[in-house]
Amino acid sequence: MIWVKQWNQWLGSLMQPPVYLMVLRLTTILLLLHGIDHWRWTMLPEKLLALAMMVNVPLVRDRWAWLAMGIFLVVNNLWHWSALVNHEYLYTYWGLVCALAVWSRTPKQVLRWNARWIIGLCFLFATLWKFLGGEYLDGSFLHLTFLLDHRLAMGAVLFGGLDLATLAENRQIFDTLQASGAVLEPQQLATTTRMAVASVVLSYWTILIEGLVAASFLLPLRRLHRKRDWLLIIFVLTTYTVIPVLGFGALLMVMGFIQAKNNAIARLYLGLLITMPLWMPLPQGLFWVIQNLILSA
Amino acid sequence: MILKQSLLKFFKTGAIPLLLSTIAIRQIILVNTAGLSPWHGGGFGMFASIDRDERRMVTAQIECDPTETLALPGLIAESPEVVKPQTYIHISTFPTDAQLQRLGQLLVTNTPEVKQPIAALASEKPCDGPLQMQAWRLIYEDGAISYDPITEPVEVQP
Repeated sequence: MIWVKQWNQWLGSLMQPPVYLMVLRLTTILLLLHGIDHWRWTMLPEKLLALAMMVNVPLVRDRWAWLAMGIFLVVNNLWHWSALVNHEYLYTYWGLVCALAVWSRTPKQVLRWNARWIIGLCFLFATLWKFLGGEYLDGSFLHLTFLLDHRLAMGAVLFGGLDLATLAENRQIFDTLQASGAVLEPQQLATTTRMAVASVVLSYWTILIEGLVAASFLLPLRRLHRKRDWLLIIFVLTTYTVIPVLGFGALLMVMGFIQAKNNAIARLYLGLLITMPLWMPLPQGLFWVIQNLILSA
Repeated sequence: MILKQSLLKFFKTGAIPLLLSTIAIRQIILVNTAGLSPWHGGGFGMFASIDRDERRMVTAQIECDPTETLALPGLIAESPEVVKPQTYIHISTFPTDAQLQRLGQLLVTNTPEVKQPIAALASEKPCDGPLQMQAWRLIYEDGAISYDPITEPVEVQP
């Protein structure tokens, strides 16, 4: 228990006022690191500026630096608008919010208000898409994703009872189909009834938790609104341990942190953010060790 | 003074949520009218649809003897100098007629550095009729994968 106390004290020391400054610092770290695995040269100005803000501390509260950051993010976003995925847009929106905050007399309030709305709207549209696409309600999206996406191999083995060799064969079937151009010749994939059932159950769980996060952040329902932080944390823990998307999870934690009204909850967000590189890949790492070192021995 | 304050309040509280919503609604419209992949464009459709750019396919079909169909993913994997992977990703993500025309032109126009596959094919076999470019999306039905057309075939004149 002593180390829990020390951990909480350390987190508390990080949260010394003004809290908004720490959010700006955390944002510069995320801006520096996000997307470096999908490098584009148009990212260079924002990365250099983020690095300068980290090295030269006064720059992190400089209005013109944040204005420049906002412009760099928008230009990069416009340049690659069709290639960017959800959280890359979120980084641009959050960079703009930081720019508005440092130009404002009430930076914490600007960050807090916009964080709440960005999280709520992001989950609202994500939930809406689950209904619009039509491939979520019958479980077919998750079913195929478990069968073809190597990042979800752990889920396919644990929830669906499939083995890694079968999943590799499925990916080979898809690769051959894509290379051949035989678009009208259906190719059967190997699966199990358990995988189909698990896909439907997990689909509805995702719709439920994303819908609840959206409602709790956006709707003026007091009881639900009070539970918004727990719902977001449950979403992050249950989703990103199965599909690790560090950039998205980290930004949600930063936005969650600044909009939290309770100090203990804010500490939890911060703790989850700091330990994210450890807990997020842990289940996948354990799975890899069990599959490759223990079962194959 | 009141106008200035209202404008400032709007920027601080409403501008970014409004921007997010506008872009997300635009993305939903583009997906349903212009073939944009639901995974892209800022509408938060990631992990909601099978139809992501990596699973899409663009084909090039030409009336030779017999008819030849080239799958662009395989072609680019073998000869990335013909079409840059980035160009292909952009076009398969948002396959408008103009973009498919552009891609088709890349396949039929030889340069001093690269002899394009369609032009090479036409010089070997008797091919008549235009090159037809078409974009497809992956579907999963009854345990099998196949493709559905996203666009009508787009004719490209050499």
